[in-house]
Amino acid sequence: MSKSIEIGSDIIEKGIQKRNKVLAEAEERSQNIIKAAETEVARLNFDADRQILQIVGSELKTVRLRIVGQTELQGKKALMDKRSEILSKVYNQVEQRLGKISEGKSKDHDYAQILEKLVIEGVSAISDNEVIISANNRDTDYLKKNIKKISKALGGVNVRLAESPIDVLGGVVLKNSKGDKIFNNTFEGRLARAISETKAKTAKTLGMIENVS
Amino acid sequence: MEMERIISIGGRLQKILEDADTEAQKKISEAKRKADEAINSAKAEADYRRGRAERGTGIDDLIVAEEKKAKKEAEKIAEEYQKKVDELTYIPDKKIEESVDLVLKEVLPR
Repeated sequence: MSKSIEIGSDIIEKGIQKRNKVLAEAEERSQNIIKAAETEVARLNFDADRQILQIVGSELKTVRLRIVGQTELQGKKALMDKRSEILSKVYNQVEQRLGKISEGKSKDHDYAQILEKLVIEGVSAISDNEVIISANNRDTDYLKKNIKKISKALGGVNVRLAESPIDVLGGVVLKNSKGDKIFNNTFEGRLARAISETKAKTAKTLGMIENVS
Repeated sequence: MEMERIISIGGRLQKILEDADTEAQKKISEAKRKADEAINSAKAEADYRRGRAERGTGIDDLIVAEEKKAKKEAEKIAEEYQKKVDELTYIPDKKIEESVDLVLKEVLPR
């Protein structure tokens, strides 16, 4: 190869390398510019979304509340209804047991003794010299027959039986002669108080709630 | 003669390099133009969307998306409550009896 051809090849080689380098650098710079633009576009979109969410936040909250809140309410209601249904089942069974007790059909309970205790407890609660006692027909009959025995236990309080019977499962309603003190010591009255006092415990026994304070 | 040939090659290479520079500049300018266009378009779009949101329009998509999200959440909540209701459906008789005794004890005088 002649010297001039060798020089010529060298020039061509270096020239092509330089050309490729210039184009490669331009390509790299272009890609960087596009990438930076893409990042900026993403940031602009992100900022816009965030700002829009702030602007319409209350409307979106309303949408969420309407759907989630309504479901939450329905769920709570269904759960409460189910709890009430079970508690009613329990209280109905209590009422049935009380009915049997008052009719003397429970071998575990002496209703006469229970009735006397209810009278004594009621008289003590009224705390007056004269007390009028109301009961159902059956219990009124029993109390009439045993009034002397019961009066003894009342320590001098004058006890009278009301003329009209009341429609209750068992137990008595007591009032003083003025009628300004009344104590409901019927099974129904006591059950109502018991329900209120034992509600949390009952719910826990039934596994409806975790803890009872 | 050979020297002339070398000079001729040099001249042609010079032209190629100048063309490469021009092409490189063109490429970079094109990239800058596209970048500016994309950014300006995004800015305009963002301004437009913000403006519509401020006027309370054009948020249908957001509301639809929120509704979809809320419905999914609501389904989960409903399932959880249903599970709790189902659990209460199968309370053993023993527990019912225990509760009856508890209340009855409270009703009867001691």
